[in-house]
Amino acid sequence: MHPCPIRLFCLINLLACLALSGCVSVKPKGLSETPMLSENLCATFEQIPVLFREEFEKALFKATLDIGKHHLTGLLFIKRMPDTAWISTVQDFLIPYHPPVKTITRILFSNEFGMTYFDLELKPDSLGVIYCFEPMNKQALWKVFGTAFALLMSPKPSCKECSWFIQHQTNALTCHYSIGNFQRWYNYSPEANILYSCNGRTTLLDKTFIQYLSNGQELPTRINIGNPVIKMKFRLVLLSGS
Amino acid sequence: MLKIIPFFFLISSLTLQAQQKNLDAVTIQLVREGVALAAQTTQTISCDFTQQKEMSMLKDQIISRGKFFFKKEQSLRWEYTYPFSYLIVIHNDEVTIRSDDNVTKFSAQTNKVFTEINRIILGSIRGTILNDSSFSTSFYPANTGYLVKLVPLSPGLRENLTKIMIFFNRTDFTVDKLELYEQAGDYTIIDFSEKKINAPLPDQTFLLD
Repeated sequence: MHPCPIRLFCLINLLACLALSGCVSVKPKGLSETPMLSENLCATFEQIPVLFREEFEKALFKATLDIGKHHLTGLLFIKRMPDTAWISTVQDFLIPYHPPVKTITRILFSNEFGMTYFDLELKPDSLGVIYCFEPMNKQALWKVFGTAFALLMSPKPSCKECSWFIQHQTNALTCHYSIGNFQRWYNYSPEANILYSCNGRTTLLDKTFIQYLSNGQELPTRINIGNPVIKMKFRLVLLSGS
Repeated sequence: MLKIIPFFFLISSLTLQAQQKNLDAVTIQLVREGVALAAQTTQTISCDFTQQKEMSMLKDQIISRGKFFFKKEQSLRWEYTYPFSYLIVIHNDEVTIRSDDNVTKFSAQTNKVFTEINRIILGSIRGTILNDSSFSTSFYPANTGYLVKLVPLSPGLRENLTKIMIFFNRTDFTVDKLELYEQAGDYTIIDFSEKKINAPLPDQTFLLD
């Protein structure tokens, strides 16, 4: 029996797309490993404000999400809640996320008219989908969002927990940190006092690139989250937060 | 078991009493005709709006405010002024959004939620929603007019909304308030105030460069 030519063509296209986008590495280019940072740099690094620190309560962002031909706009609301608010969820996707003790983070994206696109619950080890707009209810998409939000909300590793690298051209510092298969690369200024971006992945599909504009605040004023594999761009602008 | 049955009946009867009473057939006809006439005679609407999204499980709310404009047949302009400045113009099937000097245009068809909200709002203003076969419709008295409760019948709509409540003004049959109830238990209330009906609105109001 011959395989259906259309299916074969689609399969080849899919594999080609995955192969091409899979080539994008989350490890920044042009790095060379460096021994532990000097005490001064380490001290500066430790003083960088932790984004979404332990005391973080909630934040409201203006949000634009592009996935393929779909363009969604609205508001993203992030709220950290005590673990007593944990509820059973429709679907859970396992991710190695280690937030501050016993809290959950609820992430709700709605359009301008208030209609919810998705309502997610980020737990220490998984992402729960409380609700999602049906066309978005794709397991692969939640895997991508799970890694993206885990990367966004993860506490900053300490100086000693990092494997340090220097970028040849810019002298920027990169901290590599991993838990299990969750690989993370944090890119800092040469003085180790500003976080520019971070990249992470657990599999080939969920490669995530996050760029920040933090203005030295604990809540970044702008966040751009991207995933080249599924051609996802999620742009956030801070409106309010505490 | 037998002891439970009278208690069950008591609770059921109390629940029934607590339910709102439907409008009678004559008043329903009056509302239908009033809304249809208002739709016919309304060329433009300019008003303020306050939008309140209640997130039940998050025990929180998001409040937005702005100005709303409508021009017959299908032009809408939502001018959000709070919590951020934002402009949405829906003209026929094209959505244009202006935010931070960036203008984005896309077809409403690429965003299903947008399409549905647009249909509900336009249908409420133009009165067509009361005859829309994709909803079951029931009528109730309300403080300032009439409440029409719409329950989506089509599976596509039911995935997002459990019910829509439209509050029509007793005097001019325009929409005072819209409530959208979502599957997850959250709901959004949009209050329209300071309405100006048929005030001149230039076409440029619905054009964004």
